[in-house]
Amino acid sequence: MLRRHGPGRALVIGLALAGVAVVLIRNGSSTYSLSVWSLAVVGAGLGMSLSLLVTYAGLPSLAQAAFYGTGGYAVGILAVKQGQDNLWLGLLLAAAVSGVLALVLGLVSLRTRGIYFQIITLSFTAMIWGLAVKWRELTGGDDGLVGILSPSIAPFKGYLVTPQTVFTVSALSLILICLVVRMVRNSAFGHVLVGIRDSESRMAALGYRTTAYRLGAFVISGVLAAIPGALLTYQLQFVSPAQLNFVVSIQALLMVVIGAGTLLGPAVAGIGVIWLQEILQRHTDHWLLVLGVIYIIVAMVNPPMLAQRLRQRWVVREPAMESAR
Amino acid sequence: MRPVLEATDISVKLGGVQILSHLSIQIERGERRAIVGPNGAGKTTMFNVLTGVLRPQEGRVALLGRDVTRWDVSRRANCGMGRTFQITNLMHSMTVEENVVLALAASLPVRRDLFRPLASRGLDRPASELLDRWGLGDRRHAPVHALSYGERRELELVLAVAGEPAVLLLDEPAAGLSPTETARVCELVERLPRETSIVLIEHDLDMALALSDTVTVMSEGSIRGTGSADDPAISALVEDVYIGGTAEQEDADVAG
Ligand SMILES: Nc1ncnc2c1ncn2[C@@H]1O[C@H](COP(=O)(O)OP(=O)(O)OP(=O)(O)O)[C@@H](O)[C@H]1O
Ligand SMILES: [Mg+2]
Repeated sequence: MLRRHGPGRALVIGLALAGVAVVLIRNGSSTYSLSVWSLAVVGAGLGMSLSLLVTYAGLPSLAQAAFYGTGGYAVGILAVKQGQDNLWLGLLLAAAVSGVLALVLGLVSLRTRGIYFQIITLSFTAMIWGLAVKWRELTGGDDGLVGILSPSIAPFKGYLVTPQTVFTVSALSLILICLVVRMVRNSAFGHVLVGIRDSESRMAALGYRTTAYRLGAFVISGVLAAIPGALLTYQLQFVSPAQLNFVVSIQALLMVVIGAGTLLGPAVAGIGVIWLQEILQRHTDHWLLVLGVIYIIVAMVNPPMLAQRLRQRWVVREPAMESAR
Repeated sequence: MRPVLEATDISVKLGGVQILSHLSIQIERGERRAIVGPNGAGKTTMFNVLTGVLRPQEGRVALLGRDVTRWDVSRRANCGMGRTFQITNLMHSMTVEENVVLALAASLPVRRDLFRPLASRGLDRPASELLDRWGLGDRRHAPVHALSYGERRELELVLAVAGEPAVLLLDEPAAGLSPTETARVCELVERLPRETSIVLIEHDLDMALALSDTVTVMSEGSIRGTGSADDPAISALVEDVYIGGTAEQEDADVAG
């Protein structure tokens, strides 16, 4: 974790992504494909937010949908009930509400480990989902909140309404999330998180307040999930309990699993997962079935393991490995 | 002078079984104490109570004169308690140096630069120096999984001393090592600063005697006796608890 990646690789990746984005916005792409790209980029943000927790803190939470959906409901309620249409205010509220929720859930769930942690986070998602269904006056129940107006992006001109603006803002949010995850990974905080993931008892014996660090990671991850959640709601101009269904949590975990091994892997996997879903949806009514089969196959192939095997085959072994006795 | 570490009347029950009963122990500043006793005597459990992993049902623990009975592991560690584990317990996805940097960073004050790169905190140098001093300098960049078992045990010791604890609890630091590796570990323990109190769990009586001034004999969750290392009464007691333990086991085997 101490190794520093020079600016070189990040710069190349960044420029390449910016290039793709410009091409997408400027020419060629239809409104349709641009709107799918926007969905994909938002999904990638969800995957990245969870990857912080899974990859560095070793916490395979199933509560990500709860924070994602809460972000969506926060801006939905703000727009529909308060008539407030400022994008930044919406994002701020979404982040704050999900952050508080993550703090509360973290305090409860981080006492447990492994399967118990997963059960608690999953139950929490189900609880928030139940709340969204039952609290009709606030959430619109099963029907959700419709007619959420596109927010203004003041101080910039216009509204989050044209496919180009939606895509640009979504892509920027993804970049921001990636930068935050990268900062955490390279920081002292991230280093301690990995230490705790490796050996909590040792880190505690060294004097680290392990639960506080885990809680910090949990809250950051929840806050990050709220941003794409809010943007999804603005994009669809609609929010419903489907956005905080536990299936969304599993989808996020899938992105992390597929993309494990590199910093941006989960984002790339996220874009892939959403596009795949979109394409299947267009071609068959049984898209959920096909998607399920594909996911099972992917999980069995275990992409990170595959990637590692390929690397071992083609990349020269590290000198440290050779001197192992 | 008051003891560095003191446990009074400790009782621990786990899953309905009495593991420790009314155990008391005092460690003085700079003392080298060995704990010997057969498997299952409760030695590791006592360490877990002293370090705060386990909360005893009865009794209190005091560290440097302060009652720490209700303190958690990290708080006791920050107050001068270090330990190693019976089963090697390292940050296995990191290099040797990264492990040491984490150990050193633990004693830094809570920091505004928590989100800045760890490398910016200037701990690489002290980490290298520490590793050089303890003879692991040439393995600095090796990932933990590439270390030999003996090297891992050595790294455990380095991590535990990095924070310069007032009292260091070592749980069988030479378990499973070859005679040469054991000798290395003994040498390291002997080189620890003289003012550091050391409590050492060790089955090997010769090693225990070589490294300590006083020996405490434990069996069945209680302390049977404490005496100076060259006291023949202690050797007799050790023989008694080990052989007694074996005899009991044989009886049980026959009965089963
Ligand atoms: N979590 C637990 N729940 C129930 N019993 C336990 C637990 N931990 C330890 N024990 C029991 O407590 C007794 C003492 O265990 P402990 O590990 O303290 O022994 P020890 O003296 O360190 O032995 P060894 O020399 O084998 O390391 C053993 O009989 C063990 O089975
Ligand atoms: Mg033990």
